[in-house]
Amino acid sequence: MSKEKTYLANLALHLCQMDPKAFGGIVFKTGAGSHMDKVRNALSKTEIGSSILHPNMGVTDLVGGIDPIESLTSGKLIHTSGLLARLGWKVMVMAERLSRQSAALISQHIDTKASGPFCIFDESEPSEDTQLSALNERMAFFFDLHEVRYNRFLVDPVRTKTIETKLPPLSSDQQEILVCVALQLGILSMRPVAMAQRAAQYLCLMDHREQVSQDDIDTAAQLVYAHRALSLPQDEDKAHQQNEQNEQRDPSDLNTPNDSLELPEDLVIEAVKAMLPKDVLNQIKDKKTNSANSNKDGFGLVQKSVLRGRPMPAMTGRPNDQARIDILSTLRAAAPWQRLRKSQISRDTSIIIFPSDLHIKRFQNRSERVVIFSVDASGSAAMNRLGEAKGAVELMLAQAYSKRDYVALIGFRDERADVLLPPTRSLVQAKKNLAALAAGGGTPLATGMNSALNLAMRVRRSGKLPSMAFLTDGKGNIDLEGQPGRQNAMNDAAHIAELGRTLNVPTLFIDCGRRGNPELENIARKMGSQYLCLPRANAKAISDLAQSHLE
Amino acid sequence: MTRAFPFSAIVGQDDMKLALTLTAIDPKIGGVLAFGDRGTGKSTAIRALADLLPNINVVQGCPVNSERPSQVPAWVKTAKEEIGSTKTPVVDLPLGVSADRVTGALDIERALVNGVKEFQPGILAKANRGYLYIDEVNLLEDHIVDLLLDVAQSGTNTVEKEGLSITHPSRFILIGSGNPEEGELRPQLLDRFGLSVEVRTPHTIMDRVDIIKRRDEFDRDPDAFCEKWAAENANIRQTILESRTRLNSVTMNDAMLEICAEICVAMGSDGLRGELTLFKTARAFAALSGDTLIQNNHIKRIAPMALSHRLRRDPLDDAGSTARVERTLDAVLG
Repeated sequence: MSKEKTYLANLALHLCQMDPKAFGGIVFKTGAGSHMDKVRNALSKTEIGSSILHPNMGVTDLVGGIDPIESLTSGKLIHTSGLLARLGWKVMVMAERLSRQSAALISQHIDTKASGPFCIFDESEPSEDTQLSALNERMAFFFDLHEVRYNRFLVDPVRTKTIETKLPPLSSDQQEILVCVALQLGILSMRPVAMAQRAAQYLCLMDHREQVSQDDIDTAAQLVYAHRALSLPQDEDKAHQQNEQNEQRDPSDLNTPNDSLELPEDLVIEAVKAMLPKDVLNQIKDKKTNSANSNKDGFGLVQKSVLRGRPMPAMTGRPNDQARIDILSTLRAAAPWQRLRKSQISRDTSIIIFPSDLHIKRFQNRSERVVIFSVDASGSAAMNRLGEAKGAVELMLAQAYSKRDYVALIGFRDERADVLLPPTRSLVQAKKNLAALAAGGGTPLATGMNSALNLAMRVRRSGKLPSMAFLTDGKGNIDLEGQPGRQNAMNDAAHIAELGRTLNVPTLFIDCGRRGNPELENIARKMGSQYLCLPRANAKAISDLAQSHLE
Repeated sequence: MTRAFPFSAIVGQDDMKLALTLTAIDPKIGGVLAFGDRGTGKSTAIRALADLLPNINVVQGCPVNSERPSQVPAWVKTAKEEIGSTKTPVVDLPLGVSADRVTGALDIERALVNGVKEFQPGILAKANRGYLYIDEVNLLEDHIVDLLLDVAQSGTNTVEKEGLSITHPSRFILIGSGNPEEGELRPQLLDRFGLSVEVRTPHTIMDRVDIIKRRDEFDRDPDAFCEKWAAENANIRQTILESRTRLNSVTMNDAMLEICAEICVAMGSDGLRGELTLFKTARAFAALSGDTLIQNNHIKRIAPMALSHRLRRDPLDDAGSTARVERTLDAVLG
């Protein structure tokens, strides 16, 4: 398995280097460590060289701009070119911290201008979902290196092979296979199909053949499709699958005999399947229901509030530790007066700046809030509560564009707590995820609180301000271990509450039992949070409460 | 700049192609917002449009693409007397752009080297009389959005800074694309777009195979591919030109006007902008279809794209806005 992966990863690196325009680049999911060192080392030894990008680079670093210092010293305008314009490998480390804006900026650059191949290191935790941002969508290849043993992982310094011969064409059948396989794997975007086609063509050329073979198609599909797959055709039920395929195809291409295509397609799918880790097969189903074909959006992709803060016009003032000098504004202020000043002060300096010219930068900085709703989905009254909580989430999201709030939803029942909706501002995504929610069973209050706190900590790490709202009747009867028992359950909850207090997350308990529950009030007090008894909460009330109490 | 994919060679995406064509016929309709999943060819279609559009006459050297020498703003010193013909400008608004680059600002180079205060026009000047394209429009910084809203509304860009006071015309068609799952657009900005279309990947295998084939053909030899589709592109260009001349002779009787108003009221779309857009779009569509009187079928075809983004959002209604528009249309038009 790991040998296979190493082979494919090397192949992918070669492909990227041959045609960065077609493939964009490669994503490695791995922590900082020897895997990364090996790749970086290899890339820096390539003929085209490599340069490092990190997620905090600003617009000027990436796409270039005016170099104020050079401009000042030389007395004329000097532009810097920006890292993206360089042609070598561009190695992006800590890509999970890349903001959406930067990702989109880089994507735009890839779309419109020639650029070297990217090598992106996604250093998020193995358990965290893979991000498929606008940028990752443009990267043809992806490899999760967590399971690959270090000593089995070898990267050749990539040799450039310029291929001058024309790319061999794919036959119609082969193109159809690539299209059909993508559809069966739930890949709706057309970009991967184009990438797979190009990959097959290059693979053929690398082998000095003139005809694209089935093997090329297999490998190309493995490389490009495996990590994008959202669904798999049922293999235990071949007959059924065939029927489905026939149905799928009938309206569109009656003229193609189905039988001739069944076999190669299955082969390709088998090849792709071989690349998928076992647990992914199980996750695929969840992925599909949760986010359909869309992005796996959520954390990691952190938005920096310093960037998001609204830049305000620079103002005159003296730079110090708190205030950074705004060189451009300073220059601008000084520039028009240069001739004048030079005629007054006969000194041999190229530019004369007076203290009155100095400008400092100002940002209107506001962290984004994430409101985490945790909803007790247990028992008979659950449907109602869940419905109201869903309503509240949607109401808050409807206003999110102005408030800059993110909303997340956790549901807990039986022995588990699930993040039903990762922090999002998108109403569209929320609706998709909230559509089907199950309810019923015991009340794992402690587990629910624990899960909310974990999420809150992740949110805080990503630079946003978390706050939590619990919607429960507080009648916990399942403890942290998942064992039933009222006393243990409440003890655990109290324990978590005390833990939570030290973390200092603004919290609101909304008691939706018929009468107030003193035990829950007690837990709320232990957590240092607010407690409200609201027997007939409706969506509007919950949303308003959360807004006003969690400021 | 690499060659643009020919507009006529784009498979499917009828709504988006229609919307773009209609705004080309009547720029007063306003912009187009294309929302959809990744890899659906939104950017491709918009960039393809640039290639297709007929040339416009501009005063040579004028930074705001003035049509006649008399229209050149007073602060422009580089304009020449002669008039040249150039492609309709399609200007990209990159994300992360600074406000200065959008509006224009003091030309630092001139100030540094010659000690003169001179205005350096920005993106809004370049986009005058053309298209302003924003990819991932929902990720645009708020303060840039505010800027754009103001200019899109007034059609003029005013810069007051560093002792400069500059005004120049900036009439452009705003084209936005994005993915709604990455954040919603502010209603104020939504409303500024004349039309909105939802873009989906084609689902039939034939179409998808076609896309892949054409893309491959284009990538291998862009010139030959463009040559192959040049005649088709010229056809569309010709249709647009003919429709433009036909536009003013298209009329709408009072009964249709009432129906338009009725649709907008029933839909609860705010303000008169909806009705105006509905009328203008229907007129352009009638002109495109070669008709001189606006009929029910014209309204029916274009109402979803003219209205679906103007509905008051109801967070608790699950039906898509296009479905809601169609429902109302059926009720009103029968």
